[in-house]
Amino acid sequence: MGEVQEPILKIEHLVGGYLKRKPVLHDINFEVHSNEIVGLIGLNGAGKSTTIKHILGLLEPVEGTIRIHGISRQEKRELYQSKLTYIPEAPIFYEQLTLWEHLELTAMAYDLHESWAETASLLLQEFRMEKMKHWLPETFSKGMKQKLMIICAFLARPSLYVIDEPFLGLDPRAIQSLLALMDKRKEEGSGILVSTHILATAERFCNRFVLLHEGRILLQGTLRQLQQQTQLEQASLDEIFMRVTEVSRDE
Amino acid sequence: MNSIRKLWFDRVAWFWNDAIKYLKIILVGYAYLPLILLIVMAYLYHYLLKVIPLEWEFGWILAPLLTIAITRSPVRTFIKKPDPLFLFPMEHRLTDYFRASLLYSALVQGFSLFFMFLLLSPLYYAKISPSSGDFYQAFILLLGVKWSNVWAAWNESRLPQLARGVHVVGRSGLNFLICLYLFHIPLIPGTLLLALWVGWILYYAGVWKKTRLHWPNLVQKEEESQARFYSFAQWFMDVPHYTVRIKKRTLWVRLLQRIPLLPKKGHFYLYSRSLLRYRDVSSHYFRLTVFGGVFLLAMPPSGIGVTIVFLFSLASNAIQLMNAWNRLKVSFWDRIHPFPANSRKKGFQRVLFLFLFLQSVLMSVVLAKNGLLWLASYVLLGLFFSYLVSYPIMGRKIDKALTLET
Repeated sequence: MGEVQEPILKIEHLVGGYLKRKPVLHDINFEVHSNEIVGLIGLNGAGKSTTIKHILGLLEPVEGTIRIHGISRQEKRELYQSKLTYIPEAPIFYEQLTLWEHLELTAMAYDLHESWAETASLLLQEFRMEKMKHWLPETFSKGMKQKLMIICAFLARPSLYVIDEPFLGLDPRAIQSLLALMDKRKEEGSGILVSTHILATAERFCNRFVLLHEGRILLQGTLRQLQQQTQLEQASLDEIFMRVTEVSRDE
Repeated sequence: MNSIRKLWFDRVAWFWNDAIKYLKIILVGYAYLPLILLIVMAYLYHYLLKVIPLEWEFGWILAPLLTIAITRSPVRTFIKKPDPLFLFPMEHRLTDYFRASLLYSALVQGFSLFFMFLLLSPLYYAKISPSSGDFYQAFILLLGVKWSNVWAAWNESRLPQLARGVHVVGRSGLNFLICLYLFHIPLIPGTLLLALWVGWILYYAGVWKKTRLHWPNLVQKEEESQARFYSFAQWFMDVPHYTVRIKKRTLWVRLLQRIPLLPKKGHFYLYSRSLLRYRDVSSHYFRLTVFGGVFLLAMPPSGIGVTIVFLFSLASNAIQLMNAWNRLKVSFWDRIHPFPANSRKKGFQRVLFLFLFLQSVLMSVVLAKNGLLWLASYVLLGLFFSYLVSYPIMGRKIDKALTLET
């Protein structure tokens, strides 16, 4: 990871939020590179989801830029969107499409090569959803709906995966499958941005962390760098997080 | 007023305040619709009375219609989703609440039955009995049967789903016999019919004693009733409370499986499946197509009459299909997926054109009975109409919506 490389995602001086006059994100700067998983962590209301909404293009920055491979959404919307897939925190699906039709639609959206069907079958098998492939998602359990989101996102092979609280509602086997899949796509060259509250798991699978607090970045770097920045040698991510957010509250 | 009764009145008032807002908009904006319906009905009556032989028993037409109206007697309870949790512990104190629901449903459905009977009155007077005494006597008896059906449906709501279905079948059979009897087709003697009716009432009284409130069913039925109203309003405008009901329609969707999986076809793929699976949209589409076809089949070959029915049926479908855009235009994934910028507009226009042109072709095929020239002319008229609605008219509507979005 030491060598200099062009980042997949580059956020520079991002100021943003839901209202132009009242931004909730202030001067956010971070990058996601190829072959790395970056954990976006913070308390409720820290600005994680707002940051993700800006990356996805659901919110327009008040100031600053967001680029994927050097392209901003404002310049080339289609190209920008084709470089990322997204797994939302709460499943959002077309109630009128079956699981398999969601996959067909995803294949159309990302103009996938014909072999997508093989990948889809493998993913369905991995997440034990083959039997439900022609079912409408309204009959699914919460975990199954989340699996539908995961399978759709991993069917495509974009440069960047944006994943919001991926473990909610998943059974332990599905969590393992998801982690393995994330690791595989990372090794293949993608970058992954994950927002999560489950810090013990994040510590295991993330290469770097961006700690947000009240719309600002408090810390960022590898676990080792965070330990050095906070002078908490040997501390776990959980301990660093608790200490930093506590100090910030006292201030 | 005790708190339970107040709760019921508050809920009814809330529903009607909301409903009146929608009804006002519909009545102001679409005042011509009831008028067109009345003209079409008057024409149909006139035609039916002319073509059907005198000796034909009209009771066979009226009885099935009224049997459906009488058997379908849902009780509006205004129950809400959290009620099973919050009201369940005080179930024994809810007698007043449900009594009010029963009374309300009986009154509202009594009025609708009266209007339906009034609409059918020309047929009754012309073909069954010219006496208004007979007419009102038949109505009062039917009202009694209707109210006993409302009460029966309330008792059935306490039964498991399968048992409910069996009871509805039995109930509709008895209702059919009663309706036939009232229209002077006595399949069984009147005394036997009365005995069956009394026995049926006693049976339902037994059902009441042996069962208790079935909360999940009450919630589901109430949601369905609300959905029916909002789905009607959705024809004319955007309705925020609207819950889309989906039907899988496997066979119909199979016809769409030849669409190539290309990015430029993405929204055509999505919207064609959506319109087929939105239960209200596709059911209305099929119904309007079938009704249009039946009318055209029964009509004499008069150019103006046929063209009016043909265009009216197409225009009704065009309105409801165009309104389906309101619920399709807002989709989270449209912001995420890298589909081409004009994919949504083109996709919806193609689907709209396909649906309307298919209807035109089906109705034109019916008109082939008048000669091949009729078939060709109406296919062309349909093609022109479908193009006009789908491209210039719908195009403007979509452009406006997309401009507002950005």
